[in-house]
This record gives sequence, C-alpha cells and structure tokens, in this order.
Amino acid sequence: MTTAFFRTVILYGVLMVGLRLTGKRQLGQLEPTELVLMMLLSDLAAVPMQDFAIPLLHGIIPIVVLLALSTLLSAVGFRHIRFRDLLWGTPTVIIREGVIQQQEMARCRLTVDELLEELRLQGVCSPAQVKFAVLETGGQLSVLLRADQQGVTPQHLHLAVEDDVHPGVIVISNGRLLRENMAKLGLDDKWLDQQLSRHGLHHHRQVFLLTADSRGNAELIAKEVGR
Amino acid sequence: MKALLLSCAVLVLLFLVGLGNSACLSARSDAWQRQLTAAETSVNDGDWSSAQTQLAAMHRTWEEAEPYLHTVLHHEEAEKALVLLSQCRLFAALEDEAALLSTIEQLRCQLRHMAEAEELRFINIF
Repeated sequence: MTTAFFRTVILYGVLMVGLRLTGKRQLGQLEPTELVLMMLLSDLAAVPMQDFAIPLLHGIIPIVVLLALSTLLSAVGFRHIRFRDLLWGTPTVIIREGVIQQQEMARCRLTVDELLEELRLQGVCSPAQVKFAVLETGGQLSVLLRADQQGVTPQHLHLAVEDDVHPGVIVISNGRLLRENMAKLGLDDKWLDQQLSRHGLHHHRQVFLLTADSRGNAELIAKEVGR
Repeated sequence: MKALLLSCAVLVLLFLVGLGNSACLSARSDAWQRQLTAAETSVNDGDWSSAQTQLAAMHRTWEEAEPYLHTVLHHEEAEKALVLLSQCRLFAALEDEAALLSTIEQLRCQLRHMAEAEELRFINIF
C-alpha cells in the first residue's frame, strides 16, 4: 500500500513539474506531437505505478527523456520556421472569400459535415458569410466573417468611447489577504478598513471575495454566516 | 536558447547516467563472477570450507548492492540471482558438488544477463 502511495506521489510530481516546465500551451491547445506526448506520458506513468516489479526509474527516465525531447523540439522549432512547419504543419485556408476550398478540405480530410458543424458552433449559418476560415495546426477552425456580416462596433459608427476595461484583481480570497496584489494596485490598510467597515465587517477573515481594479473600484462578498 | 541548452543538458546527463550505470553493473557482475570462479576452484580442490566462505562473502556484497540493483533492474531479475546464490550456499553446505557446480553456472548466466541487459547495445535497443 505505501509503495503504491509513494510511487503515485513521485510520478505525479514528476509529471506536474514537467508539464509546468513545458508551458501552458501544452495544457490548452494540443498540437499532434503534444497529444502523442501526453498519451505516452500517461501510459509511462501508469505502468510502474501498478507493477511494483518495475523499478521506478524505468518510469521516470522515459518521462524525463520525453519532456526534454519535447522541449528541445519546441526550442528548435521556435528558432527555425522550416523545422516548425515540418513538425507542426501550417494553417490551411478552408474557406476563402465565401468559397470552400475543396482541394484543401480533401488534403486535410475534413468532411463537409465537420466543416458545417464547426461553422454552426461559431454561430455561422452559411460558408457565404465567411471571409476566411482557417484550419489551425491544433485542429481548431478560426472563422473570420465578411465585413457586412460582423457586428457593429463603436469604431464603425465613429464613436469615441471611454476605455473602461479594468480587470479586477483579487485582494481577499476566502478570508486570505493577498498583500502582494494590494501593493500592485497601490492600496493600503486604510483602504481595506474602509471597504470592511462599509460592509459592517471587522476582519478580512470575514470576507469571501474582495476584488479591486486599478481605479480603486471594489467588489466585496462577505462569507456566509456559519462558515 | 535556455530551453534548448537545458533540454540538451538533461538528455546528455541521462545518457551519461545510463552509461555509468552500465559500467557500474558490469564491474559488480565481474567481481561476483570472480568470486564464483574462486568458489568453483575451491570445490574442485575439495576445499569446501573455502568455497562456503567465498559464497558467504559474495552474499554479503550482494546484500550491500541490493538497494542499487532494485533501483536499476527489474526486481524479478535480481530476485532470481539471489535465489540461485542462496541455492549455491545450500549446496556448498551440503557439499553436493554436481548440484553446486550446475547452480554456479546458472548464476553466472544470470549475472551476465543482468549486466548485458543494461549495456548500450544494438540488440538491447531494438
């Protein structure tokens, strides 16, 4: 039992550290090579976890080698465009000026049903509405609508609008005060006390969530009674 | 550049560790083979006491190396060699020459197999 426990902890740690080192892209948008890597990693980790006759090193070494190779290929691909194209491929234009590129679809083995499904998922009813549809190397379809099919924006109407996008930063999370974030926003304890007293609270531990933006606007949610 | 160098360094390091492990295992295997040869010579000379001492010494060095062996080898391989060594000691205590010499030969094969399995060789890779 303890053997299984420790093996699981160690292999999980190795995989987590490895994935963090290879970057966020690995988790969100899987390229074909990355997908293969993920499949291999899960298999390599599972075998020594279950079979105690296999030394742990026989699981860890292939995992580290795979991660190092993956990082190496990414680094080389970052520097050499041709190598990157060779390894990850290039995006393919599937619809150009409302016209489906049938030859490209055949080359990518993308069926009409799949294309229309992707378009529908993005709120597009007809290929004629599309200026460009590009099949990305990760397998996602990027759709750019024709100008007359796009929504009206203030820019189209030549309107000047105030830039009011100020993302909120968490200052208190579930009773825990994040002083680093407060310092980033230039807020002090006096500001915090004001926010607390405005909601009839005495201590930051009573707060479930407090966010603030760069203009000093704050939103506070108190903890439910009894928590 | 940092990622490139780091990944190359990790790969080189693992490769060197693999080579080091192979060399270490071969050296240990050779040392045990020498102890087995000495025990075999003693048996052929009829010196059972010396053979028993040689095998006991080999058992001690094996026990010292056991954590390392279990880290780098499939556990069954190490266990198989240990069972054969225990049988050798038993046959030496019983002074059963035929059984002892036969088991020593099997143990030699097992030690060679263990060392060869970790060597950087074409047949091991493919």
